[in-house]
Amino acid sequence: MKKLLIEYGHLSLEELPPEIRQKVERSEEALAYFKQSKHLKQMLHMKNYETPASEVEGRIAYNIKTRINAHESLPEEHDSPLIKNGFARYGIAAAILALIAGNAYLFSNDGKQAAGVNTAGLKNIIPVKEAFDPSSIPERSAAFEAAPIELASTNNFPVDVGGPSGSEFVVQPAN
Amino acid sequence: MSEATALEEEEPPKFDAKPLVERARNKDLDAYNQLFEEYYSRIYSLIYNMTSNKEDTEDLVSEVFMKAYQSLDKFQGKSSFYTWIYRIAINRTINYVKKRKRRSALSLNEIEHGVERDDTYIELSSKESPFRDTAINELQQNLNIALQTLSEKHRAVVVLHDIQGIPHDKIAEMIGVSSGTVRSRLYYARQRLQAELSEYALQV
Repeated sequence: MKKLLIEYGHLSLEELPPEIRQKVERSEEALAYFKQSKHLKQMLHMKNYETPASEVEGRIAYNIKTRINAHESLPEEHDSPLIKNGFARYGIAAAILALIAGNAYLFSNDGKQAAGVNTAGLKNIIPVKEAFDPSSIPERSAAFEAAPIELASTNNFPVDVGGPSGSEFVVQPAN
Repeated sequence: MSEATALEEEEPPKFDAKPLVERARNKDLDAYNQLFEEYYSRIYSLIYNMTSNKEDTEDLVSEVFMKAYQSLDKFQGKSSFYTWIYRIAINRTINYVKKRKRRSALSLNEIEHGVERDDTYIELSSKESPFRDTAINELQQNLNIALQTLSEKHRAVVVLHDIQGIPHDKIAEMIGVSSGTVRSRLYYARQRLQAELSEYALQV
């Protein structure tokens, strides 16, 4: 019966094919379903009488028009046609990946041999672990010692801005 | 209301959206305004009944028409403009309702005065049902509360079928599921609504 109600429940009792209607009328459960559904649908139909205030349509129309005009007056995107093209984006990404992979291979031992690079020479360019001398690092306290800063004062301020001197800034208590 | 009648009502044969869509594609804002005027009330009703909030509805309706205008180039005409813009509205609203952190307070629209002359209203009022003694505003509020207990997908089907009278096969096209799924969602949504609105239930 549930299958029948799902299959034909969107129709009213009067709209059912004759053989289905006979089946429905023989079942109290099915008959109650169709009557209750009709009643529910009648109540829901009342919602068509809920309408917005008259000014709403004009307000929405104005809002849409303003947004469309604003959108159309925006400058075009400055991306190059290549960037806009999805395939080109993939191509650029692939080229970058290839470059990274190539560099990694070149600096690996296999790569150096394959490319005939003199690894001894590279030691002079790239600091390697053995060449590291901890004594070359300045002591922490010395490295972070700040040089004394000479503070400006009202006495040695070189420009006369025409305002009151420092001593004249007196905070008046609020009334 | 039969399915055929519903279809005629929801898509008036006199209105031809195609030429307006073509003009709107060429940045003709007057043409797009005519499309807006044609579909505004139905899109508004769909979103309002999905959110039960006037302010959210106003924002979302603007967003839907804005999005549709910007996407006109992608509209291939395989379905009608009406189906296409409905699809945008349904998807946008479902996403919005899912993302909002907490349920917005209900803010209801006014009931039109013509309701007293509606045949369904007269029939409901004359029935031996609890509805007879209920003020329409109270029913409106309780219907909105009950609708908000449904999941977004179930609510969409109820709003489209039972409130807007759109046939289930058209709904299937709009939301991109099979007709069977629409019927199944409608069945479970109605079960839930009847439980939520048991105080108005018809004694059978």
